[in-house]
Amino acid sequence: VLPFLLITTAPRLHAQNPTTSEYVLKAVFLFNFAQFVEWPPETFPSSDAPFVIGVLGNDPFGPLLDETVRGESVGGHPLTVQRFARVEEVVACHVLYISTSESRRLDEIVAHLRGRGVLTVSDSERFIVRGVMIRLVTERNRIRLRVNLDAAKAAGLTISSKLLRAAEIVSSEEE
Amino acid sequence: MVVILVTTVVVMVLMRGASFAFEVGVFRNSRVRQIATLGEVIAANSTAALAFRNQDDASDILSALQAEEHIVAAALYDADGKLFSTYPKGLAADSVPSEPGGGGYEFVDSMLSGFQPVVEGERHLGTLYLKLDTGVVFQQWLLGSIQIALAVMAFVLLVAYALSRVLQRHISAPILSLADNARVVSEQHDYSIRAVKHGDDEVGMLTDAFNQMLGQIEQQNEALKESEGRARGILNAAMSAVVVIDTSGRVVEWNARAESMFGRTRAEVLGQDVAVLIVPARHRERLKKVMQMFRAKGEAQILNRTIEVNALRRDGAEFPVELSIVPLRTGNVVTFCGFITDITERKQSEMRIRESLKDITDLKTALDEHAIVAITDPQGKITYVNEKFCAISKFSREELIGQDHRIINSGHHPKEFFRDLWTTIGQGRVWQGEIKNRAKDGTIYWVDTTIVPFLGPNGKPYQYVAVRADVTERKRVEEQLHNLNLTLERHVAERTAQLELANKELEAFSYSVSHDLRAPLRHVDGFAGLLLKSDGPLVSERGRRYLDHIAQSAKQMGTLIDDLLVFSRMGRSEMRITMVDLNKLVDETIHALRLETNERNIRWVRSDLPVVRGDLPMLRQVYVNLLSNSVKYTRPRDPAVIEIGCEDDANGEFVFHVRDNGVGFEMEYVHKLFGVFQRLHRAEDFEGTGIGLANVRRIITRHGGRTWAEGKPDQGATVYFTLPKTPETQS
Repeated sequence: VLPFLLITTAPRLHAQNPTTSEYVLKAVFLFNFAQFVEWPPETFPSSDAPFVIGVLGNDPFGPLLDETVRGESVGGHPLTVQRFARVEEVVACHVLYISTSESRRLDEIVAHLRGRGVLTVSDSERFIVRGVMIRLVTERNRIRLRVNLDAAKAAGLTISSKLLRAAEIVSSEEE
Repeated sequence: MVVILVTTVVVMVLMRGASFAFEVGVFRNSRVRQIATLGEVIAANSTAALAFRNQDDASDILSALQAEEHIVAAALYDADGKLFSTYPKGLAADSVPSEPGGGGYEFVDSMLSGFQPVVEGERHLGTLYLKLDTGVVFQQWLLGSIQIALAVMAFVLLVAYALSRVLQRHISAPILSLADNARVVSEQHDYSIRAVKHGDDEVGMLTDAFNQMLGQIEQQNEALKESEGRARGILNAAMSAVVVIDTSGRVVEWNARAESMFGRTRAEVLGQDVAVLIVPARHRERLKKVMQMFRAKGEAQILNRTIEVNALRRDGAEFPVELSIVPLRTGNVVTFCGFITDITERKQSEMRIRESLKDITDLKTALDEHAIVAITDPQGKITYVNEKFCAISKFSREELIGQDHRIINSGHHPKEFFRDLWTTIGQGRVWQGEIKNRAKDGTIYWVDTTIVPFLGPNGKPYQYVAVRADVTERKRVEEQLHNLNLTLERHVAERTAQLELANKELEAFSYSVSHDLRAPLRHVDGFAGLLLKSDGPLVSERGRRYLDHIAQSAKQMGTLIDDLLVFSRMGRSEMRITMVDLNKLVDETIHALRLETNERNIRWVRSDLPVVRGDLPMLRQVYVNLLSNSVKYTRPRDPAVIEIGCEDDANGEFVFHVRDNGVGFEMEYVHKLFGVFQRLHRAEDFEGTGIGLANVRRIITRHGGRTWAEGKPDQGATVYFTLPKTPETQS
């Protein structure tokens, strides 16, 4: 009944401007996904293997993401942030933010990551219909989630119903 | 019964109250559990809404609370503590806390509220706030609970009432009556009250025991009261003042005698310091020391003895008292009981006795100095003699003590004398008399004796005190005087007889002479007259003158002889005493004299005269002589004043006087005035025989009166005589 034995304090983030504020929230969302999604065990080679949040392409967060996850851990796995220029560099990653800069190579990226248990996140509607699992929708100063449930399931990830309640579920475009 | 019912109600209320408090606790705990469960569910559901900041979702989740109508407010806060979503919609922002608080739920009045952390995995995502209005629920629950409680209580009361009725009849009523009796006894101190016994059960035994106890208390009270009354009676009847003090000197008892002796009432002195009350200032320090010593040693010299000290009255006066102090030990308490007797009177009488003893000693010394003193026992044996007794009797004291007075008896007094003496003093009366005694050497002495019997309580003399004065010398002189008197009286009698004889002879002689002289004188006068008548013309002028002289002288001689005869008759004639009105007598005499002196200017002044006893012709003679004298010796006076009067002398005499303003006389010759043939004036100047006043004196003397005269030459004379008053003549 009382599952909250460990209570951790979220890092305090200071919004400096709308853009910064937007990415502060997005950084937190990336971090929060770790709570609402179950990864296949083989994605953690050991019990203290890191939980990796990666950024592919142009990094819009700057230091915000690093600050958000500093000192945090999920299920004994310390959180780390890795930045990738190319999808080939992505070896071990649990949440991957795919920058809009990767639009041209998206299909290639989705194909590369398929079946590897990586939760893909992006800002772009076009991306989600092409196989990215979660889109962070910015509208009227708020950020909404859209989830491509099929894509997640295909990747072996289980998304919590709680998250799904707060999200809009979409499907991949039929080809 | 009321007690039982009240007790029941109280117990019921307390039990119900405890139970209610417990039930309220249970009620509240269940509410808390309810809200906590609800909070957990909502919190678990709202994790994603918070994590991904989906307010619509949050509102949806909170809207689920509508199912629970008593939730009045709910809110979600994000991880930063900022308010994220509220319930119900349109709730004022200030209806929920602006920031989340700690975990747990608490009641504020009927509102139950609290915070629930919202956590997903290990991630703290925010906080849920819930507020539940338990009031309505609570009221419903309370109403039901009270209804049940009232119903139960009514039932229990009914049962308790029934039970207590039964109990009261058998236990409460007797006990209540017993308690009522006990209350009356303790309030009114009336131990004569007895409780009524209701049965033979335990209560009956209790009643018996109660009554028995009352009986004993009553008896003890009576005994105590009697004993207290007796003690107080004795205390107040005591002739001594009784003052009881405690060891600090405070008065705890003060009897009636003490009240009157010190002038302070018991009520006013109780608890006061005895030293200030009755001890003179100078003794107070001493008393304090005695008390200190007693407190220190439990002993003090002053105790259990009788001492004399001065005490202080209320008015500040001191008086002597006899004081004894006895310590009284009652249990652990020590008091001092002082018995105080006012000895002012005793002191005074001791003083008086000392003074009178000294007086007596002084008196005895004085007596011994003055008198001969002897004391004998009732049998007449001498038990005491003083120095003077020894000196006069020439016996030593040793020779006298144990003897009786016969040792100095002179044999002068007859036996009856001493019998009378002993009878008198034997009857307890004082005897006084003169006794002739004989000394050891035979000397006779007289003592004026007073014998005083000293009487014992039985009225019989137990000793006789004889006080004597030596009167031997007086006795001797008296005896001489007595002898002399006897001789004198004999001589006087002899002389008187001789004198009377001579007087009689003289009177007889003078009478015969006078009488015999008359015849020749008548011859001389008669023949001279005859010669003148027969031979008158033959006789010369000178011869006739001679014959006149002869006749004149013969007549004068005849008058002289008449007077002498009257005078001598006055001495002899019998007096015929009658009551004589002197006013009438004097007026007649004046009238007669006026006829002879009508050519003269004479003022007669007569004041009122008494009626006296006397011989009328003689008294007439007295006034004729006196008034004639005055007429005669006032001849040169114009007017002549002759005053006749009388004074009522206090010595039982009338003092008469005849006063004139005539020629008077020299007082140095006054003794001659009343003598026969004694004359103070020449016959040429004033005729007379020199017998008038001699006759007056003789008559007055025979009436028991006196005569005398006063006068001065040329200033008149006054002749006085007295007559004794008699019962009839008292004016």
